[in-house]
Amino acid sequence: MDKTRSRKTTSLTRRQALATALGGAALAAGGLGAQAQVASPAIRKKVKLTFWNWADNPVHQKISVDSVAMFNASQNFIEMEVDANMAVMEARKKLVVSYAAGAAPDVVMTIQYWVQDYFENGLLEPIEDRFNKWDEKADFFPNIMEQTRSRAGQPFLFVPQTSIPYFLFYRADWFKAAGLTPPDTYDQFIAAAKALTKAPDRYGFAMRGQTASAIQVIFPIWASAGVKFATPDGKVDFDSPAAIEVTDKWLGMALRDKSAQPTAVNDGYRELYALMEKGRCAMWYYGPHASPALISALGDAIQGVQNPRVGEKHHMIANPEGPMMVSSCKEKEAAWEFMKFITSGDAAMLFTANRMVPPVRKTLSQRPVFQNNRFIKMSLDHLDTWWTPPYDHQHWTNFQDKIPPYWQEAVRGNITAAQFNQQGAKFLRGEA
Amino acid sequence: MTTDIADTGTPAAIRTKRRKRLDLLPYALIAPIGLLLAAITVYPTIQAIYLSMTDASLLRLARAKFVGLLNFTRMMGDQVFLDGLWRTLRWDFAVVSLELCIALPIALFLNMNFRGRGFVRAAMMVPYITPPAVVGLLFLFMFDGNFGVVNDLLVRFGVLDRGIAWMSDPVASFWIVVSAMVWYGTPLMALILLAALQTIPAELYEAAEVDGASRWSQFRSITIPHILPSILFLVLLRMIWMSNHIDMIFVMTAGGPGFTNHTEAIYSFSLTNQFQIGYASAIAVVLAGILMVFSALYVRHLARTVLAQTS
Repeated sequence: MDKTRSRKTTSLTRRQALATALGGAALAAGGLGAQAQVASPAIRKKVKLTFWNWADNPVHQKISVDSVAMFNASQNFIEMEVDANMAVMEARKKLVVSYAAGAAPDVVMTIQYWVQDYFENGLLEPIEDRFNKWDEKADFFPNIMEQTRSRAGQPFLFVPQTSIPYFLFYRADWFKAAGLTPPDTYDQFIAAAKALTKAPDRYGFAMRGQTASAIQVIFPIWASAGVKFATPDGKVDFDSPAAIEVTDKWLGMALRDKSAQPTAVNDGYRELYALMEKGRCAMWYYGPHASPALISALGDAIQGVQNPRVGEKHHMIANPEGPMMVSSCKEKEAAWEFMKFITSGDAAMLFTANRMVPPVRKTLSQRPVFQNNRFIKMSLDHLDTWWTPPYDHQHWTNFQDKIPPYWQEAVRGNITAAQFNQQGAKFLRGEA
Repeated sequence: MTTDIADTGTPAAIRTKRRKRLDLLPYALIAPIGLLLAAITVYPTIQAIYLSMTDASLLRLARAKFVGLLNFTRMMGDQVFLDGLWRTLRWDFAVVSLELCIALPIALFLNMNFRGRGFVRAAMMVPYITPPAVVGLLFLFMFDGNFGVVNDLLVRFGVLDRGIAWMSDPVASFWIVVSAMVWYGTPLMALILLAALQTIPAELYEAAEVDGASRWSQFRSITIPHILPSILFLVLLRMIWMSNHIDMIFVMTAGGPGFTNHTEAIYSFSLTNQFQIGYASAIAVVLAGILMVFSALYVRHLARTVLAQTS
């Protein structure tokens, strides 16, 4: 790649110049000041492929559009078309429907927890062979690459571009005023939430009630209590006393301590973000992508710490994201060229620095933009605690898709912690 | 000549004549719309009925297995489905009855002569031309438990000590979604009722005035009988639309909190999002069946009683 780049810079074509200008402009906006890389397609015929990505917001959408423009301008053979006009939960549905209709795109962005289903149902083309031939493969964090297998013994299923860790945002100023230190254990966290509550103006914890993401942030705490959820031999322990105890304490913040906001049942990301930004809650579980806006609103008062633990070890849930190749793609080499491009160099920086999420490549993670963000730095410093639940379990999707209404029932006190965990265990066992 | 007369009486000649009389032009003219209807209505209906008898998942559509009536028997033990029947009925009645109660006075008012009537009639349609998802979000923001304007006003005026978590409460969230839907849907109902009001001959009211009938008597004996078919037809249509309605409920509550706003349409939609299109289709088929039976009975009753009386 380096060789190609140096050769090309001596005689820039108009397309390459445009790529450099476009990439430079985009990165300058992100304060990076780097230059665009140039792809070297292995194929020598004109092909047209499609790429789909979801858009969390207009900036995210622009990243997809700009990165595709950078790629198209970088070479003469592969033309990518982009559709980045869908919400994250729509992306999975849209892919599955389009695949069933025989009109799937060639490359799509995916999240770790979708890939096992895709792989088992033939939607996904594994990339292990191609990845192993790539001269930049050693630059990827090995533990993240292992996660992309989804299940031990399987090939790499996609190329990770980022992995978004979820940790605890906390109001350092309020903790200091109350004479508290950031929570290390789960019990300290529960106690801190209670101590910092001054209802109705301030609550200790911004609790989420809506959608599957509501319990995603509890996964690492269950895991730190020794809960395995489901093991490959089919054993499910989500209804174990340890799991129920974690749930009960969590729900206790809403139902007993009243340290979570009263609107928790129906609150999602948008509401929780507003609560934190407006200084109505002291703690919140979320990822580093919320940090620029929170820093802008709260300055040094907002800090981050890794998830509290029940047992000895911390767990930080971090879901890798990146492009995957759809099995119906007719031009796989061309698709691979694009996948390499957007997970490398300046294109990868667009997807990570501009969203403020950590990269999963060693060289990129050392760049100042990441090292200077205290939340990303803290996450990267605890890379060994990054973890994902057993997404590869045969009934995990069943569990994840069906559990949200039961969580809302639990947060409003309509079912107990034990009933919630028993229902979850039923889903994990495939009994419901 | 004789031969001709004799020939016309033979069966072969009759067949020839009949063939000649068969005019294909009307069939040719309706063929495009017939084909279009078949493509967009008949085929999807047949496909939905077929899917309802399979274990189809969008993830493995090619491997879908025929399971007969299993999905339908499963429904009988599915509490979310069974409760959903009541929730759908509750939603339908709440929205349609409120819309009607508000739309009728509006239509009567807009049927009067006053300055600026044209502007008011046009302005009335603003809610209906706003996308339902936007209306849903507006109501959601207004009733936000932490920063919503409703809580803010109630606290400012001393009605409440502290804000209420409206959308976390099953009863409150239901009525807020109903309010949003009523705000959105009432203009259409008012417009149709206004059109019906304008078909009533003015002479009837003039004669009633001469006879000394009061306003209320005129309304009861002239207005209502004349617009009753329109009202009943509107109620039927609106009930069908509301039974199938998804966007406003989903945007505002996603069917929650818990299952409290899970109508059958929302449940079927959620199952589709989980790729369980076999079971989701079965629920849709049952819902369609219930609506068809209800509509048939309703229309029959309408034809026998109300329409017969008014004609």
